[in-house]
Amino acid sequence: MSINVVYIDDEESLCQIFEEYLHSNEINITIFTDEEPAIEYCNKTKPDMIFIDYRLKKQTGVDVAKAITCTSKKILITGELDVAMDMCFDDKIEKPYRLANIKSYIIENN
Amino acid sequence: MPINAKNNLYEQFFNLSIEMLCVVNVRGYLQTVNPSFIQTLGYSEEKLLSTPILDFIHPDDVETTAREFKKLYLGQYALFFENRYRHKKGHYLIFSWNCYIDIKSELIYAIAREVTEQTRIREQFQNLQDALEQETIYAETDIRGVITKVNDNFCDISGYSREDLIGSTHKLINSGYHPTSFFSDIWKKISAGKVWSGVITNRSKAGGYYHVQSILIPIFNKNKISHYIAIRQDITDKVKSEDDRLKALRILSETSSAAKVGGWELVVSTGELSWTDETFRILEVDKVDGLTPFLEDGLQLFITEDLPIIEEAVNRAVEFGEPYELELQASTPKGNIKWVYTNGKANYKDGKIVTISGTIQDIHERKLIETKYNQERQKSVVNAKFSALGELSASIAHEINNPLGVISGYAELLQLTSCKASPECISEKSTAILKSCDRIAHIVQSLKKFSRSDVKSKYTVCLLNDLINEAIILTRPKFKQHLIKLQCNHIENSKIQCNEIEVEQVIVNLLNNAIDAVSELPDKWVDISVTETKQHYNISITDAGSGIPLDKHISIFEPFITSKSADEGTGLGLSIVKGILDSHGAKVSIDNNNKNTCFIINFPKMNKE
Repeated sequence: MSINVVYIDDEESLCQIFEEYLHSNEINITIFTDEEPAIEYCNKTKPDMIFIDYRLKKQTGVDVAKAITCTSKKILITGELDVAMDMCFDDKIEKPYRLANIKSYIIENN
Repeated sequence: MPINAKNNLYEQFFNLSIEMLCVVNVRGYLQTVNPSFIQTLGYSEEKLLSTPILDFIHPDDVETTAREFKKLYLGQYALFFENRYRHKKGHYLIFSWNCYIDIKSELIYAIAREVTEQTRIREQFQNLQDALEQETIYAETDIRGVITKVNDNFCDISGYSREDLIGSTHKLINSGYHPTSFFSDIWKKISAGKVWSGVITNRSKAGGYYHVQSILIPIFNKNKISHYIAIRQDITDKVKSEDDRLKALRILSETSSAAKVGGWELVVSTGELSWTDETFRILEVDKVDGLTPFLEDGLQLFITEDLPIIEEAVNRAVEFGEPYELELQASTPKGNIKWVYTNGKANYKDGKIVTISGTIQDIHERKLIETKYNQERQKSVVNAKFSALGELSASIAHEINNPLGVISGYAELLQLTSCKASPECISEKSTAILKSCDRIAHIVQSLKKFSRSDVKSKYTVCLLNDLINEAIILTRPKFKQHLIKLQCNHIENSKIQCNEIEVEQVIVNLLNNAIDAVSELPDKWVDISVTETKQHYNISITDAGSGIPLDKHISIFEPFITSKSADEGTGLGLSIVKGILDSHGAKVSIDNNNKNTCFIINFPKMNKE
């Protein structure tokens, strides 16, 4: 069974790269650049892992994480220097990240 | 003496007298006239004797003359009166008459004297006297100084009635202002028969002083002074205004001393300088009576570096009439170096420059403060820049990390697919990588410019739009971080001349403030727009905030005034903003008419050359 992963980032190319690199038989990637459909999708499908960028179009990653009520593993992605980890996240990954590292992270933490 | 001889004698009298003698009969005709009569009036004897006497008389005098004659017939023995006779040439002569009637023969014996000239003089004198009495403050005194006559003007100004004054001496209105010797000197002079004139200060009945320009005249009768006439003119207003003028002059002198402003004048032909006391004080030159400084001496009082500047300025003023204003350092004889401001302008007479005059001002303290302020400002500009940079760096990091993520992502993808990737795929990915590199480079570029610490004012021509865009690039991450909507309206080709780093910093500063002000509001927006008037570009930066209280509008531009908490900002921002804009001739203000917070910068347009 593949791992269901959601990636939310307002930077479209990052989403595309994420999907292109990580989408495989083992990992099923769904990407979103807007907050609302992402929240709706996550609450409905309850993915295994959700990567959320801190700075989105209308809300922050923290707001989105709080809006997603399922127990999925939530990871904060941020390019800021000093964003505090919120309790609603399980982990934090700083930009720029290496996709190879993300891949192993997904496999290890599932 | 025989009768004939006697008659002959009277006849001689009659014929030779320069008095005009005539006999008038009851019908009103001249019966006999003597040669003097004929000579004076110019008519022939025949004409005179054949014309009714009233025909020669001035129409206005006919009635009185007829009446006088009538008196004689009614029994009055003698008459004295004057009337006007027409000369043959048409003008009138004034006759003074002496008439006697012989009732028996009903003949009037009359003697006339021509008094035209005397009458004219007498009338003139009377006019003069009337005018004096009417127009001046007029008084007469007897030889002891007791007032015998005053006019209404005298009563009005002194406040005393005629009854009060007549019978008193002028002691009544003595003000006590003059010493006793003043009056005894006057008295000595007029009692010696001389006219005295001068200003006397008197006191009115109400107690107020009044000043009169006075002429005191002794009047002679039979070689002895019979009385005195005093003619006075009220000059109280003039004295007061003179007083005011002197007072103003005194105040001016004190003020110029307090303001440390001295005056000077150079006589071009001789090179002589005149200095006011304050100029001597400022330049610390001892004033020696009778010694005038010369231009050369004056010029030597400036430090060696400034000497050619002042020399050139003075020479140009002398030669071409060019005015000048300079801030220079003087080196005083006491060994002090002090900053002075001096100006000069040419004064012309008959089209030629005769003098150069101007002022000199001690600006040493001001200059020291100015220098200190500039140093402080430089320091705080640097400080504020660093603090603004600190605030920005966090969000800029994000802005760099995103494209960096794209770069590394594509690189990884390329690695992953290197062996089987199509040329198109490689090209597409490397293009994306290069684009991200450009993005980073652009940000770093702005950052580099922003953090440059050499703040030498270098003015260049640049586009306001570019400055605003640069400022937006720097602040956009922060806008994004706080999810603030930014709207921007430009004007094309808005050229200004400025130190672009400084002006960009102004805009960044105001945008940063706006971001901080709205970050906690439910509706977050900032609007930056440019409009233009004939001479200015108006850059308004409006945010969703609800405005700044009126009483803070001024203080907000003072250093260390801030609405932010200590860890949020230094509060130097707006004072620097103002300082920078001041030095660009631009103004920053808060728009009172906006319900939101709106800062407006009026930036002067570039002069079209």
